[in-house]
Amino acid sequence: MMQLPWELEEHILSLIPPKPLARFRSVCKRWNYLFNDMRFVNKHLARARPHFILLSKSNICSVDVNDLDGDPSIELHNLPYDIPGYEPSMPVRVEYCDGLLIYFTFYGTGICNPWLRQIKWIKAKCHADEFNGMGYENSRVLDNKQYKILESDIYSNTSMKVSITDFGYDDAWKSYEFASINWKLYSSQNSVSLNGTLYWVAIYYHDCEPHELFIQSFDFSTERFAPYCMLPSENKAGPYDARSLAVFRGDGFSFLEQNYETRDIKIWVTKEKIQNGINGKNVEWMSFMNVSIPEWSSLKVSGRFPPSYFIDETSFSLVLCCLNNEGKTCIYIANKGVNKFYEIKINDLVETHRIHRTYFPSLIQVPTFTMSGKEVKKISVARSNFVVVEEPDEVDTEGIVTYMYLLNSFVGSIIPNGSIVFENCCMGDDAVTCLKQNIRKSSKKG
Amino acid sequence: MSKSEKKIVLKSLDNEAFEVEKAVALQSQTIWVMCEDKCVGNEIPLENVTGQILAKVIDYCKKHAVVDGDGDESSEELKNWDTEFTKNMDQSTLFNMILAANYLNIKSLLNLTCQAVADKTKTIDEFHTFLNIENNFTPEEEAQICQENLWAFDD
Repeated sequence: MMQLPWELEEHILSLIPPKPLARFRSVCKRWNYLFNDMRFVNKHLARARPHFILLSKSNICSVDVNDLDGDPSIELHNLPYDIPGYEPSMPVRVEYCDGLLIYFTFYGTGICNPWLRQIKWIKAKCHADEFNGMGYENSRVLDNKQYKILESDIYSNTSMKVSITDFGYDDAWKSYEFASINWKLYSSQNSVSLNGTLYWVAIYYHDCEPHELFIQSFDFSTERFAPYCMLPSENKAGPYDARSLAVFRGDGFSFLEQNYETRDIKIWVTKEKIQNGINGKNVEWMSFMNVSIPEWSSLKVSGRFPPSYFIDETSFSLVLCCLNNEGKTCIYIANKGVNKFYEIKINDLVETHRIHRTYFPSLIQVPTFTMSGKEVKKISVARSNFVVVEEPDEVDTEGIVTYMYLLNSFVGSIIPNGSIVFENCCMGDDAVTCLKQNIRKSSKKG
Repeated sequence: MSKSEKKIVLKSLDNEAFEVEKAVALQSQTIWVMCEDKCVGNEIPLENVTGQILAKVIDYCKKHAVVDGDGDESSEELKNWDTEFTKNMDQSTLFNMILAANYLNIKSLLNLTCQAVADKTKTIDEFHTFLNIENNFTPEEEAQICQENLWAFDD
């Protein structure tokens, strides 16, 4: 009986979606470890097919679009919605960053991987209706990304205030005020998170008149907004046109513009990779796809709530998710390969899912969860005011025991040979000594 | 270009020779590199692939090649062809196809065959038998992992 080499076995596993994969943890020890291995988790994410997440008053579900190169169909998965603070009639936003979803509610902000049933709440500043997002300091990515959350407070013609919090440490809010801004987000935009930086479709104002469209960015390393690059547009004067930004091929952008009058869609993509810290003013856009919407289609153009979308290059299709002319959520597929247009009404849903966005289901763990999916225990250490969070004692594939320590404003990974990797060190020497002693103690225990 | 330059001979492990169009063979990155290096003549020895498997790989490559612009088959037809192609393969053929696709570096074929394995194996037992993997958990450990991932079993 043949057996495949390990790398090919891994390749097969990277093609399986997160939920069935969780069932296969008990196949053998190697697999169980593999699904916690960041290298595999990232590879799995890179191969994942995009889904749409839909939020309504009573449920959250995920839509998977199948058979794009044949007769397209959709598969609906209900996601857990026992979310504290998630109540009827409450506006909620959902953002996405590298395999994790972020729910913004009036009662708190939840960082979540619904496929692993993990959600972690932090106190929010209750401005869920403005623009938000999650990213990280891309200059300091070690093994663990140190996530930061951006929320806007005041957002008017004359000033804007944003708050940033380091995820994992409650109440560590920093506020920034930016006076007399000459730009605005273009309608109700979701953020696009790429390599830790947030991007939005925005528009410049000159003398209170809207002018050019551009990409605004927020870099968590510098904690500043910076215009990234100009956007192409067919119809600059169209204030009702729908416009939406997405990540293309993992490291570029695609930009969708839908004309309010004709309903025609035009998509551009960037020629080059988007790199952090590099000015985007030389970014070149090229036309990628033009879609005419058939007369019979129920597709409605909404500049205020632009469609979520993704591009499937294998079948050369554009897949859109938005509300139709009756306010029902629909999936629209324009297959340019065979020049066909499909629309699929999501009939099973009783109510309107106004909030939708594209995301990738993943095995990414919500930070502060242990590898087994349980929330970490907090162990108080005597004589000091810091908290050591420990427990996983997981041996990864290289046989290195990794301990996670979490302090008030510090996260570090410690490996048993005594070397400590601190991501954000702001404690005195005696605290370090004390921490080291505790590490030794727990290493001996293990 | 003369006729001989457009053709290439692939020789399997068991010395079976296959004459194919260059455009067909060059879907393999491995063969591409060999031809670029010019270290081989018109005949390319493939020491890891048997004739039986190589014949199937060539079938796949012929179907997916765009030769002189007549590769105008619709993506729907190609997809159906791909499904039929892997549908009745037994475990050893499928594994040999995966190994060949990996060795010859044909990404689309590797994904197709790996996906076929993923589609054929839906339960834990199927993984144990189909992939020939031993369950090395103690019953207690196994019970604990199943308990922790109970949520993944409800639909």
